[in-house]
Amino acid sequence: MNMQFSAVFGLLLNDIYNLKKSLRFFLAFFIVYGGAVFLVGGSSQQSSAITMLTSVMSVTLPLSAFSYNQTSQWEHYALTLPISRRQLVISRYLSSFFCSVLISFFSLLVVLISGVMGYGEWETTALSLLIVTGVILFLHSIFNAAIYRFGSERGRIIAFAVCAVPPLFAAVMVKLMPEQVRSSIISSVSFQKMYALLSSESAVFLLGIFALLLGVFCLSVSCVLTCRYMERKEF
Amino acid sequence: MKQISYENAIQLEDLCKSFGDFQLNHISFSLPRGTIMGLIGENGAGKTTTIKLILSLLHRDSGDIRLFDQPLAGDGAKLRSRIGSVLDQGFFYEELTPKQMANVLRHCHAGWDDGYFSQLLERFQLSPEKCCKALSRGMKAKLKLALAMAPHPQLLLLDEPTSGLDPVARSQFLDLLQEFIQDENCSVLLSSHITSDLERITDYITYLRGGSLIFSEETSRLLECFAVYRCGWEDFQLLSPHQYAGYRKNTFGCDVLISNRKEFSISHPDAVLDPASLETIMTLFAQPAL
Repeated sequence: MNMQFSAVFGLLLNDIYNLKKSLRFFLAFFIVYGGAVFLVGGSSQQSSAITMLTSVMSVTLPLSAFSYNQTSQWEHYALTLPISRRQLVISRYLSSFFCSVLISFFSLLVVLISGVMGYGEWETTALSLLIVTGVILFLHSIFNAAIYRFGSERGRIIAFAVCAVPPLFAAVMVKLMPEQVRSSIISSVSFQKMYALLSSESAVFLLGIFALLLGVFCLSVSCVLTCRYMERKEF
Repeated sequence: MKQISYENAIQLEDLCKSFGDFQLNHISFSLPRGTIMGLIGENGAGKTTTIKLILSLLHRDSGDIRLFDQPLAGDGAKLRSRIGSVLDQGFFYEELTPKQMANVLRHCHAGWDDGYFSQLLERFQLSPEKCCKALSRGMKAKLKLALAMAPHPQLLLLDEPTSGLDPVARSQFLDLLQEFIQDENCSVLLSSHITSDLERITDYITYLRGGSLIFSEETSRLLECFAVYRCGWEDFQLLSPHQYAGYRKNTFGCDVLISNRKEFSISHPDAVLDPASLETIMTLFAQPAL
């Protein structure tokens, strides 16, 4: 194997070892919680539970690996090895990407099984996983960049703050709008049409593909920017 | 993996680096192939900074770094494939076992040698299956060294590797370094405060103080040239400043560090000169000059 790919593989392997305990915990959590939902819940509860589990695991696991590395100052050690700063960053982003995609794939399998078992409405849930994966990749693009720049503790807080900016901005704008403008906007939006659109599988699929591509794009841009930052960073 | 035909494992020319109120000033020294160099100096003298600059963990402000006679360019990842290092800062996550660490490093180092790593673990009495968090500080130091040596590097950069090791382990460690150096293509740069160890194994000593290079000399020459002249305060005041490198006033008089024993013996035939250890040289150099 080419030495450069081999080194990235080694770095990914390090993340897997770091996450060994967490993976066991999440797997147990997934089985117990998912099982409970299947036993007691209806189809809508299943969808939300599976989507929620996917989101939590996909965001938390790569961040845990990152935090463990930061705690042990692994990067400091890794850069004394024949590993370039670029390889280090790329492996981190690949780790986030693979983790998110694999967990989504695993969730998709669960949703498909539930469909086969006759729980109904699995198609929309399966397609909505595309949107969830896209959103998670976007979150990783923010979290990874913030943690590289500000460290594990501060980086998480800053990333949460950044993620909270768009909804907060929207809320403030709505609050500041004159009453007439606000009511005219609300009256112009047809919630029935929107609901109908989101209930359509083709629309969800398109939205999902768009979200996924946007997520991959954001993650790639974040990776390039972090590579540039890391070239200058001193350890 | 072994690449021969180089003269100096490390060659630093006018190396400068500043951050905050610290400045590394125009450091120049060479570590010839097949030798061990000890890097000494007080805390904050610039030893770790120098090692980090060699490893490209820090970016130099100016000056040249050549490793194996090749200029260090970019982030130096390629040249680091010939270097093994042990730094105090940074390691694997503590839940990992030596076996898992080896699995990771096997993919990062082209020259990784599983058999040699197992031998080193056995020699250091380390279990490949024991979690790193269960290891003592000394055992971790041994593990770091085993991981650094397993890919058969040509240069070892060791920053305070023996701190935390008991005397037996330290002795084992020094023996291992001497074995390593049997291969004439291998060299070691070792920073340590345990000067007795350095006297035992080094060929060269480089002394840094406050970010400046005080000297970089052959160890045998240093121990031969430097001497301690114990005299009264009145006798000391008769000496001219160029005759000594430092002094320390004490209750009974003065300990004076003579930098040219031979010359001093000729000019002061009655003076009794004691041999100067590295620790004495460091201590007396550190005293304020007149």
